[in-house]
This record gives sequence, C-alpha cells and structure tokens, in this order.
Amino acid sequence: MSTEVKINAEPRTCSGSTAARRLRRAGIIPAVLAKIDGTTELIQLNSREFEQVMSGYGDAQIMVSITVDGDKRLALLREIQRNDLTGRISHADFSMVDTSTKLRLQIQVLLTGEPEGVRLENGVLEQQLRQIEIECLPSDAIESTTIDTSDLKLGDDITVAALDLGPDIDIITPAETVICNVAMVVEEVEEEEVEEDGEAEDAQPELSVQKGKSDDEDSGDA
Amino acid sequence: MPLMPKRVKYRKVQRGSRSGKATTNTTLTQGDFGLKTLERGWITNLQIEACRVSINRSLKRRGKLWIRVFPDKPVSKKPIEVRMGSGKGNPESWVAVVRPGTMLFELTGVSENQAREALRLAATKLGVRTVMVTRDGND
Repeated sequence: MSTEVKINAEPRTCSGSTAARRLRRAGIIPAVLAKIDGTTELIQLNSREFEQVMSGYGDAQIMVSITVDGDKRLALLREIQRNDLTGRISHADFSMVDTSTKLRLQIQVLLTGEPEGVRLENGVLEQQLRQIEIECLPSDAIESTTIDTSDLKLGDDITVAALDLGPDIDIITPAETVICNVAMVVEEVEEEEVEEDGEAEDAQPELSVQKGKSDDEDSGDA
Repeated sequence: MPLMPKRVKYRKVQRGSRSGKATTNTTLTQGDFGLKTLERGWITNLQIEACRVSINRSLKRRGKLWIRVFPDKPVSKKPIEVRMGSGKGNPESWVAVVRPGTMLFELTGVSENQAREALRLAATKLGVRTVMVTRDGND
C-alpha cells in the first residue's frame, strides 16, 4: 500500500507551447488531469513544490491526492516529462481513477544486495528490466518492488515469475521476462595490440553502391 | 581498428546541419550512470576511442560500458599546401554529430564515485561540455 502523496494544483486557462513556455519561466509546471468521462482539465502546479514531492519517486507512476481549487480527487500520475538538458519537470499527466475499478500501472523494480557472482566471481550485475506493469485496485497500488540479489551467482538470473506482490496485485509483464542477471565481464583486447595496429587507421569502408567513376579519378590533382 | 562503418553508400558527404537539440538518444537506457553532452559538435572516432580506453583503465575492467554514439559521418580534408579547387578532398576521419542532450556513454556495475571519476576522465578527451547523469536525476 502506497503512502498518500498530496499535490496542490490550480486551474489553467492558457494552453499552447508559447503559454506553456511562459508558465515554466514563471516557475509553474503545466499539467493535465484526465477525467473518468474522457474529458481533460488543464491544471498548473508550483514547480518547486512538485519537484520536492517527486524527488523521492523518480519518474514512477504513483497514486496522488490532487487538490484543484479546494476539490480533492484521487488520481494516478501517469507520466512526467523532463527537460533533457536541465532534468527539470516540464509537464505532468494525471488521470482520475475510479476506486472500484482495477487499473494498470508501471512500477519500479529496485535491486538490493551485492550478488555472490559479483563479490567472488568478478561478474557484473545487469538490470534488463526497470519497470513492470501491474493491475490492481487504486487502494492496493504500490510505487516499487524490491528484489534481493545477494544469492545470485555468475550466470544466474531473476525473472518476473520470482516476484511476489501479494494476491491483490496481478502482474501483466510476461513471467519469463528477465529482470536482472549476473554476467561475466568481457575481457578487453590488450591495448598494446591496438596501438601496434596503426596501419588500420587508413582503412576505409567499402561502398555499398559501386559508382561508375573510379576512386583515382575522384581524388583529382591532390 | 578505429570506429567506422563497415560499408557506406557514398564516400564523401556534405557537412550537414547541427542545429537544434537532441530529440533521441537522450536518456539512460542500459546503465545507471551516463555522460551527456551540453553542446553541439562533431566527436571523432579517435576521441571516442580515447574515452573508452580512459574509462576502462579507470574502472580496471570492472563494470560495463555502453558507447551510445557512432561515428558514421566521413570528414574530408584537402592536403596541406594544395590550391583550392580540383574537387573535394579525401576522407580523413569519421565523426558522430552530437547535439545538446545526446547521451555519449553509459556505465553500470560500479559505484557512483568510480563512475564519476571514470566519466570525468573521459570528458577531458572531448571537445564539448558534458554533464554526468544518474538514474535519480542530473548532477
């Protein structure tokens, strides 16, 4: 069961990229709230407050209690868009949920513990899957699940089938999907050999389409 | 063998545009730590190779490295003391075009301090300003 995240929002009257840019410059994040009947409501959030609230959750889909103009609603934070350069949140998508209807959401998969294969056999822990899709009632929603990887040896893996989230949560992601594994470190080619192979620097790739003109003619007087 | 395509359709290409910001290849896909460029530019295959070597030396063959850019653009150059004209010069090097926000390298299987030091060393080999990013957010 997730903890309740409270978010304060205000109705938004302006829309479009220019208005959104102006809002972001003023420290406001434009957002939308999708209602159950299919319509959407334009809202805006205080950038600083929202960044603080989201600092512990990353970009996970979480259940939030959103207050718009004093009206409290239960919603799912579907997606957060971030600026690629600054990392700041630029937009948020919320959708209201019906407490009696099951919903699908993505939750984070977190790993703990140092695997045996990494500690003793010089392997490397690779995480292939960072989010899984689940289906549950809003009251049963969780933000993340944690897996202990301490017992993993070299070549072992953990699949979705190993997860146990309780009887109230159905996992939609296929059970055979690998979450993480301990792989062998591929030895690098000796650097000296690479340096000796200096002639290879002049190598050129072959042409996939042969031109009528030969290379000698192409190079000209140079 | 430096990084370059195995086969190309044309030996020489025009300089092209570097305008705009990166729209793809901007997030961490495999690793836990990454090096992202803040500027636009051409990164040569030799720079990428130098970065790879410095990261691997710094990590002492621990962890795993992904190189997210590939130099697929040929850069031609005329020989020195040659008059203008007489056609385009010969291909001299291969570059990857990067725009602000492009992820260059990703790392996993090491601690944050080790990753930070390795990526710092790699960043010194590049001609563009970079920033290290983690799963939690930009640094």
